[in-house]
Amino acid sequence: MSDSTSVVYLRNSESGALVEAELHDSILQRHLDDQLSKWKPLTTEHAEEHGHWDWQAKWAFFAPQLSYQSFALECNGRTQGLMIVNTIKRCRIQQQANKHLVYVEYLEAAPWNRRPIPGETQYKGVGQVMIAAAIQLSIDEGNHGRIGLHSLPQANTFYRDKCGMTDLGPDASYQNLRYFEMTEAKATAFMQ
Amino acid sequence: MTLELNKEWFDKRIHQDEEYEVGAGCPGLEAIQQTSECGQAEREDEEFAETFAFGTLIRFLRRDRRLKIEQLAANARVEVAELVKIELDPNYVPQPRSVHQLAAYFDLPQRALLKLSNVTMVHSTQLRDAAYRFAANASQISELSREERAAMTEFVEFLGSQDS
Repeated sequence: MSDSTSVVYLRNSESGALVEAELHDSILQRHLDDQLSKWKPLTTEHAEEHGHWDWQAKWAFFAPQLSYQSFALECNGRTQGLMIVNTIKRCRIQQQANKHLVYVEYLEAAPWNRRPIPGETQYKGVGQVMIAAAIQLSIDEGNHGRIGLHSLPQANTFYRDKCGMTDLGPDASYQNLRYFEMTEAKATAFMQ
Repeated sequence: MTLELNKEWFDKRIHQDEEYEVGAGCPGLEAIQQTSECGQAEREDEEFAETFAFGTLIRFLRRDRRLKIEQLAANARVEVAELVKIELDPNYVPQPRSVHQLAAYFDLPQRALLKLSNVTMVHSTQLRDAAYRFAANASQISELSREERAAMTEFVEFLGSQDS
């Protein structure tokens, strides 16, 4: 499996400094090991709604399928975020309806990046890096930056206010999670 | 794919005082099972994994016993046409009777096999995860290799542990 690495940056929450990080365009075994050994105990402890996400199983199922691609973000020797995207879904916004987009199936940041955890360095920017990666993949696939996703409730403001994605409201077919989509223009603006 | 953004982009985009959380995707499989309304596409993926695993398991077991489809159909008293669909069409949901017959013939745990075949709508996260792994391991293999047989054995043992 190919693994290209891009140099990206996250912001150390305490010092405020930008810190170099690595974006892998494929989830590797060490990322899954990290998720299992370092993330899972923390998410389970706090009974987070997606705390039982089994990335190992998801990855095993999605990895052989050509329509899916995975990403892992690494910094300071730790996995800071994971994402699986689907490249064959279609848009819902009227102005770009039925055009292909990159759909974010799963996106999760490490627990210490979602709330302060003693002994763990918190980094900000995991979401921005992953959204940028999804947009770049969309561009590479000829989809002009169009992306879509179903947001976890606590992340709605990030996609709407920070990323400029269009909020299409709760999706009754998806446990009423809000569906967000990014237009080509917003994607271009986001990457500038 | 490579992401080529300069450091200034990150400096501009990521602020120290921001408190945004990120996360996307269906919160969990348990939620799907409880509400039966989360993510048709995802549910289809997961049911596909299970029925794919079910069909593959039956195919492996048949080949392991060196049976032709017609022979298995006769021995297990299942229609040939249905057996073909079970083995080859991952979207096919078999008749409950056929699942019972196959479970009895191969001495497999009935209840776990019914769940796996999607005849019943009762699912467990562990079963789905095991189906994912089995489907992933099986999907690239054409011959019943030692690894394939090991995966099949492990999966059958898992089904046995779930039959309660």
